[in-house]
Amino acid sequence: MDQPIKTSLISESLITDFIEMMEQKGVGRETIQEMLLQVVDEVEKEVIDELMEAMSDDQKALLDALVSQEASGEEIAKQLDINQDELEELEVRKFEEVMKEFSKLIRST
Amino acid sequence: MSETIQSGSSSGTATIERDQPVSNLGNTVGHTATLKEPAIDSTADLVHKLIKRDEAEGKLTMFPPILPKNNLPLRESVNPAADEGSSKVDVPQAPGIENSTNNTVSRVGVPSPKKSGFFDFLKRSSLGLSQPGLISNAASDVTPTPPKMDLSAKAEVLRKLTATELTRQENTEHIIPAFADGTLASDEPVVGSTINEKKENATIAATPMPNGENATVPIEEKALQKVTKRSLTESIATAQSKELVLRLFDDYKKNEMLRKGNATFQVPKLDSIPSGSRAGGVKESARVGGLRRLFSRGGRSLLASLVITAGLGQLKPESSSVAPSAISATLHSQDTPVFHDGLGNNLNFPPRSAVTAQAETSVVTIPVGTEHPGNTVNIVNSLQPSQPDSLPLPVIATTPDSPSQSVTQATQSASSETVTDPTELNHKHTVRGEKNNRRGGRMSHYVKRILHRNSPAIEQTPQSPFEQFINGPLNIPAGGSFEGTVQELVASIPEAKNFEGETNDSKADLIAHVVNVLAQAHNPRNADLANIQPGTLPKNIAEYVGEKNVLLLHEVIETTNRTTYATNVLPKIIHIMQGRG
Repeated sequence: MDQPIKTSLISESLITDFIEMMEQKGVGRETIQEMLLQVVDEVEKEVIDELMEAMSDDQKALLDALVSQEASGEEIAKQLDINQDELEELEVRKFEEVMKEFSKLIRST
Repeated sequence: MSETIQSGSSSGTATIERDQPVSNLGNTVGHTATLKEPAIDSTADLVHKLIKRDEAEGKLTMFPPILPKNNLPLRESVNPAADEGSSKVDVPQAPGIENSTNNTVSRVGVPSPKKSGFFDFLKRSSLGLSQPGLISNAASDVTPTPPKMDLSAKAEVLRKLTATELTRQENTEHIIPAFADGTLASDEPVVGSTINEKKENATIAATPMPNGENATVPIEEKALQKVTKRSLTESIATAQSKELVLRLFDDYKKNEMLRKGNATFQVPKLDSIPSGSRAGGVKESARVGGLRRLFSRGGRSLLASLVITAGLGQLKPESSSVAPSAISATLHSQDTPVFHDGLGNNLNFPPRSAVTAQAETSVVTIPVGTEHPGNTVNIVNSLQPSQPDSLPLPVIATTPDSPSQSVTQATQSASSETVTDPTELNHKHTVRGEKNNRRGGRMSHYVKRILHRNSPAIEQTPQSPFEQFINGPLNIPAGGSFEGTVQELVASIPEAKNFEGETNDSKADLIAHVVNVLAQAHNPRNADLANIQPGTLPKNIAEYVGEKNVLLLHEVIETTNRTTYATNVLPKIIHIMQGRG
């Protein structure tokens, strides 16, 4: 298992660098934030897609039942035995990967 | 104990189990290598098989294809116990495993020989769910990340599929799935019927009613209004093909036109809808919704919170305009809260005890008196300011839904959208908190920002046309088209209209604009942007990317419906805009 990620430090650095860079290019902060949130949303969606792919039929059935009961995220994680910390880290890793590439490309424009 | 070592060929990963002798494993004697999976087909063969299989079943092949589990590419990991070296060993064939004639296992440290692109990607993917422990029984159930195919190859396959599918669907009608009461069964696009375009008695096919009977149900305009763009968007999010998306959008536009007239829903029988045409449906969407909750522990996801707080934490005081009617408040746990309306007027606030009690839970919402209906005080709760390691926690509280909403109700409502756990935040974001503290405190900025968002007066703050365009929703009027709407908007933006040869700022703005528009277009949930077609790009965008790149841009648009734009599309677009294709 990899070492735990310094989530807040790395991610915030990427985010703040990106914001500063885009601001220097004259883009409004709200726009930047919206873009970042879109990236977050898509990254989250990608992780969910992977999670769905990884789930067994039994787990999906259990998930269906939990969703129908409007279970909380914590309850879903508990019932499915999903480690939210690891899931979160996976999301963060993906986000950081995207942001690094995105920032690199934006910087070169 | 078993350990996995890197395969020497594309035939799979071998598992070495301790304490079982294998004579020719060099100094790893004492191990037995066993092939755990059969050999897999080449990429081309596999894709071909998938297409043939799906064609035989009368359905589209989803790209990237989801592999059958028994053809899963094998996970690989590093065996830390193995010695580095370059020797190869023959691995005894496992009982019952066929196609294991190439059971050569290279030792750790030896680069794998050629791997075909399809599985090479999977094997190189470092971000899949191969991490142990993510799901308890992941070892047996994990399906790898769907492969991200080469874009050009993907486009080619899609073109072939499209031609096939169009031929197949020539006489196939499509419906907006909806129930007879006008509620769109939004997540289950179904091929099977279509909108009848009769002007006076139009019909909209619908998903089966529980009784499964065909019926023509009168529909009132009010019910029809429920077939909203939002519902359609959700439908499109689960659509499998571009054609389906376009049909959905077309149906939506027709439906929009029907709103002013009489319409009926025709309810088909359940068995009239081919099951193979369903695209995940409500259940799949509900699952996604459920899994999304995993990312938010009582509020926004960690990343979303980071984006917001990082952005807001950098707000320059002079750049934060607060409308006179906006209300700000600061509450320190040891201080008396003071609320004012931005004009120097103190406002009434609940008794100190009530505020304190809620402050300890980090979310406080205090409705302002009736003279300020709709306004909400957003309180910053600097918990334990005397402890340097604690993070002053921003508290977000939203405007009560109604003046009659109680403090508790408003607070509870707000708490579901707020990072509320100071302990967790401290634990995860100590560095950020310290950083922000060094900036002089982001709390007041946070409050201003929230107020900025909530204040009607702020919403009326003049924005440039460009800001309005890129910040606001793209509202396509009923009967209007995406391209027409965008063209009108672009034409209204001086910076964009005069882009050619303009300043770098304009260029940057336009880049942001293009990225924004195209990013939305690439989000399959944005139904109203899904009908971008070659030749219909807004003129300015087409001019900017250059004629030579327009087709490539369209290719990106067409082939990325199921691709995460953030990872693939945006960089591609930027490349395109840079003229590098």
